[in-house]
Amino acid sequence: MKLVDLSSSEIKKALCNEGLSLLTPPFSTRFFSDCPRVIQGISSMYRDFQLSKEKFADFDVHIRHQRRWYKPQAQFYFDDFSPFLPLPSAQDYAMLEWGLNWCYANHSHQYLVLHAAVIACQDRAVIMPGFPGAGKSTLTAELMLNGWRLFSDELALIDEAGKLIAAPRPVSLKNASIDIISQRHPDALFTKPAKDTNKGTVAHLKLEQSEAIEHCEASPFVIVFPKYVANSELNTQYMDPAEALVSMAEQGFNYHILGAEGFRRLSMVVEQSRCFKLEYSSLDDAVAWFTELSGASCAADL
Amino acid sequence: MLLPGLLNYRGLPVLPICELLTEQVLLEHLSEQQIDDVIKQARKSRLLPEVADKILAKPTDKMPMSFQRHLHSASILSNAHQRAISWEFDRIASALEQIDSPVVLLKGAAYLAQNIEHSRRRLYGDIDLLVAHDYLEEVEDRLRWAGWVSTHHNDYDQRYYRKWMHEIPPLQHAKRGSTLDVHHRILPPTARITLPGEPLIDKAIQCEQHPFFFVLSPADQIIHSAAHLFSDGEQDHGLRDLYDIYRLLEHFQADNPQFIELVVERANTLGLSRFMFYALRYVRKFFAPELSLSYEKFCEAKPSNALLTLMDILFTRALVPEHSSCSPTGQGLSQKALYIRGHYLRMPFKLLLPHLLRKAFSTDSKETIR
Repeated sequence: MKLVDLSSSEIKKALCNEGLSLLTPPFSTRFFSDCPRVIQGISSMYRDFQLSKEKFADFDVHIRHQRRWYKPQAQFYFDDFSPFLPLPSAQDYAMLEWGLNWCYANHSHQYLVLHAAVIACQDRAVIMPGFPGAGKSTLTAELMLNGWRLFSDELALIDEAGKLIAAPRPVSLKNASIDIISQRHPDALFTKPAKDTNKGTVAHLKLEQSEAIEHCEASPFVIVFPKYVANSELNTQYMDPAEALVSMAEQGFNYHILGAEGFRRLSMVVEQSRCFKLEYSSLDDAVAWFTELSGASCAADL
Repeated sequence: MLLPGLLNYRGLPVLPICELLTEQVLLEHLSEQQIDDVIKQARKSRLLPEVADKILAKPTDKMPMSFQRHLHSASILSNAHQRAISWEFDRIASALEQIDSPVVLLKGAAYLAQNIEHSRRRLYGDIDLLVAHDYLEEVEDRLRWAGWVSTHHNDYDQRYYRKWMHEIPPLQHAKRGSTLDVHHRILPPTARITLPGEPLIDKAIQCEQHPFFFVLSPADQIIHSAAHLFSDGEQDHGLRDLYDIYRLLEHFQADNPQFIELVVERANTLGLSRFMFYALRYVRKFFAPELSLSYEKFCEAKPSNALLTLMDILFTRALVPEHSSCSPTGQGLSQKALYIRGHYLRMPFKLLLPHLLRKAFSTDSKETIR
């Protein structure tokens, strides 16, 4: 049974009381909140996710409002503990997504977790490590809306066989990207933008997934370091694998925790992949380049 | 509702996490809901790697995969902590090799340096060192040359630590971020029960595995842990700290069946037997029901019956993991009361009041989410 099969009052009741357990592959998450924007956000962003029947959930996450009358705030709780400073209450839904990312990155050392977007075509994955301002989220969203399978826009999970594990959740878009993507894809479903966050304006975009949201893995075949450069022609350059490895290690959330094992997994990933630097300004050109890489099979249904 | 709850309180809620840790119950005897609770309580109280070890030692079919991977993840994390601490040992030894006085490892770092069984599955924060007061300046200088700099930059905090505390402000390594707490006393000079470091340093013994370092004598290690757990105002990881004491008692008792008598005697001599009394009492209540009551009776500075009733109410609440699945009524209140008690024990009122006022208006140290 999926979340969409519940009525809005059932969803609200679960979120305000015993919690709403969803399968958020490869984990399960139990959400709690009585904040209207969060209830609305979960209902729309997670509508295609399966309900979990297990008593055990990997992560119990809770958004509460505090100081209701004076500059109201939202606070994120994980296991009844708040690791962060509160944010203005209008950022409550965004805080939930960021908090859940933090849970994934800090409590799943069975995976090597990198700050990177991962997008797949059949069982082959592209990794885009996350340097700020690179435009990886925009590219990821655009590729997803062009038929690629979203693994994650933030976190690459790498298992002991060097495979990437899908952790699909809503895509976080910032500032100008929100308008760009919503103009190109008028049907795409967004949360209401949260303004003045420390990343600027942020909105979340619902997963566009024709298949069921379930456990899924893929082998890496390309690593791309994208860079958005206004008014530039599309420009790609091969990258030295050693340089790619070092850059990716810098983006590791738990690379230091896995130690030698982290290096082993990252080497496996790089050995299986071609590495590129990509400069782009036109999303159409970039999508065409990715399509060519994948052998044209991912854009088939468009 | 709250008050009758407090007054009627007898004994303890049964905590599956304590029973698992002491192998009084096996995983297969727990319900799915209890398993979920245990994981979360353990995660909260920094005991998950230890719980993982106890569970994985006795595999059962009943264990869900989702549950197993948290155990696995926790073991990887505790391995990383050990590796990092061992590297810091090496760096500290190299920074301080010229110091002509014992550098004593305290608490967690000392358990790991002695290779005490459970320390391999413990999570570590700061490294605590004890040096003789006369060498403090030199130690601080040499650590600074090696990259450890003070984290508390405001004058008030610097003054506060240096004048009234038993340690200098925490030092953090500029590159690696590792934190050292350098102690020069056991308890603050202004405290109602106070103790300089020297009597303990005199009895410290050289560490076999890391010969540069010293550790306190076995009895002093336990007394030191007890003094901190039961005089500090914050029991953030109280259950973990109590569990440390339980495992230390067990470890040293294996070599010497009279060990606990020896600890109590030493605590009486040092004037710290009140804290030792509480340590024995709550170790017995939480982990070791078989521990003889007679040890508590040997402690010279037992609290009065009325005070003990109050302390039972406070500590049996404050030491339970802070998680909705097990938090007893009044836990928050107990923690606040103990926080005030901690400060009351640490300094006289004329110092305490301005300090608490100041802290009430300062911001905390959490990070903004990104």
